[in-house]
Amino acid sequence: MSWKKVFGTLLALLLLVGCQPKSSTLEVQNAWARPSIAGQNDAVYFVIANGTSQDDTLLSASVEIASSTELHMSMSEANDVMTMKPMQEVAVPAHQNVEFAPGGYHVMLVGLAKPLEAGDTFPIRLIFKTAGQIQVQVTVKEQ
Amino acid sequence: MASTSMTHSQDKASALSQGLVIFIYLAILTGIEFFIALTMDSAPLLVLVAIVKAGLVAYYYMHIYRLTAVEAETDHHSYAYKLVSNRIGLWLFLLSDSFVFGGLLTTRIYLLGPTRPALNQFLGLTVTAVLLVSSFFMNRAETSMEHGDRKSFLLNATLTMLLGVAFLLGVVAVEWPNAIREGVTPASGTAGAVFFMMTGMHAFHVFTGVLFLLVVLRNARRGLYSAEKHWAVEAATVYWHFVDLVWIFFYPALYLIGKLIG
Amino acid sequence: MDRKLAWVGLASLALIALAIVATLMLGKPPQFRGTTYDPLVPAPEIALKKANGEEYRLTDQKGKVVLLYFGYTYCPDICPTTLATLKQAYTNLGSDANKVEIVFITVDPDRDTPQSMQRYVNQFDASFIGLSGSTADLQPVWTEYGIFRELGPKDASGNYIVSHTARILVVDKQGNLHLSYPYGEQWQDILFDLRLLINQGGSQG
Repeated sequence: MSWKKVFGTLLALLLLVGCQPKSSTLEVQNAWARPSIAGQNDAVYFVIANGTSQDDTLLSASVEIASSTELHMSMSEANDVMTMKPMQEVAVPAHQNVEFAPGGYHVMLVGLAKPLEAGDTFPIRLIFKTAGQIQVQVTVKEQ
Repeated sequence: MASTSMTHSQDKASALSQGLVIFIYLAILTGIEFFIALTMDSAPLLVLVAIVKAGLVAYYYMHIYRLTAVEAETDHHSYAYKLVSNRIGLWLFLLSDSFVFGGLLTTRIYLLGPTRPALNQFLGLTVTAVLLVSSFFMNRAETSMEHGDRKSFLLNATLTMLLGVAFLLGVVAVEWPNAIREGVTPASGTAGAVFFMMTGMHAFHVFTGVLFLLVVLRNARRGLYSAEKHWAVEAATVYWHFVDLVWIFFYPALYLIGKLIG
Repeated sequence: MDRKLAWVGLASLALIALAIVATLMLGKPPQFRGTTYDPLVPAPEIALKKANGEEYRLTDQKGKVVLLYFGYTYCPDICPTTLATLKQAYTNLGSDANKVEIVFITVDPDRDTPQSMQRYVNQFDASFIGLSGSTADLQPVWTEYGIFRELGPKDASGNYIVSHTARILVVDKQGNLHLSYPYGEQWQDILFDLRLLINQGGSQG
């Protein structure tokens, strides 16, 4: 292989890295939950990436390993008091990411049927108004 | 007496040991720097250590003093005459490049002030060490070429290049995804934007340094350089150390100075 | 070794050593990253049951830095996130970890026993301490430490949310309330302060 070809390839690679393709679907990424013991509550976190040009809404979530789930948002009130507010739905505007992360939106799992240990995975189904049902695997990890 | 031999009159063994001693100094200073960041939280001290490190690199590894070694050469077509103007040209280029990095550093100081993004300390120290070791081998490579030892040059320059690639992978393939997982992304706010712009611009320079070394290695294998005539080797070396010198300031600016922000 | 080179190395080190000494003498002492109590106040007594039936007394812990955090085991988000943060700071203390104690006290005694509190903190680190008791035992602790709690409405299956003060409180080795952190503090900052507090010899900060 000639050196010109090597440089050409390297340059092409560099350009490719620069133009990451944008997804045009609604995706749920990096779903995770903390380890927990049976009977307890837990929270599932993820990022909803709405790559479509349509606004969407997360309506509900369900898992098999807990007796029920709720959409929640943690928020701080005056004087460092933290509370959680149940959400009927969560809006996911077009071309935007909505982050479910500690201290903010989360899917609360009420009454775990079994303990969750780091490394476990379990499925979660999310129902969206437009995108319909999306199922992803949740990874159990410390952070 | 060959005109270039004036600038490196040391014998090979003492030149190599000088490179090693400077490397040890730089390693000790990096350790002190990390210790200061852990225990004292003092930005002026970190800046002072960075300046001392940069001074050592600029003098002993980049031999900035050669700029003043203008010889009374009147033949404008001689290698010695061209070497003098080549050096000035290279340093002018480095000066212009340092405005880019200086601008980024100023941006960081202006936007983030006494805060810094939450980054993996272990990774930061590791890539810094990798780059420092690469500078050590770069110095060995240049010293070898100055004394006409082509085999040793090829070995040391290849090691330098591989360490450069390791640094690139460490930053782009490990540190970036790691930062993104921690919530520091190019779009997550000023801290993320500053971090990716600074490391990205620097990594791009390391990448060009690797390409530069590739060219020089290929030409050296063809026997294009000698102890007397190896300007391209010197230029690649000075450029490589310049990129390391930039990191001497970027590393504390990104990883050590200031209070963590989420 | 080249004599000039040795001088360069010595001069660099001497310059930096001088600057370090100057910074230590002239500069402000390292600042805590948490919110400092000014003035320091003696931490009110806490006497609650541990899971093994023994009584935990805060006044018995002098010589240790004690981090107090109030929450409840049915808490899915804020409490585990904070405890995970504390665990990271705690683990990174290394051999100094035995000079630090992390205590999780319930704001929901109707559902939390000392045993369930201990089980809960064991998920993070078995050396953390979980405490509970009767509402009558706990009420004075909440009041004296300024912990607000409010039980939310019960849903169909009897679950409810507890809104509560989510600050981490730090009691120093002398038994004074010294620092506090709001929710969301980085573990690195907590670690930084803990190291300072551990190495603090005198009676005042």
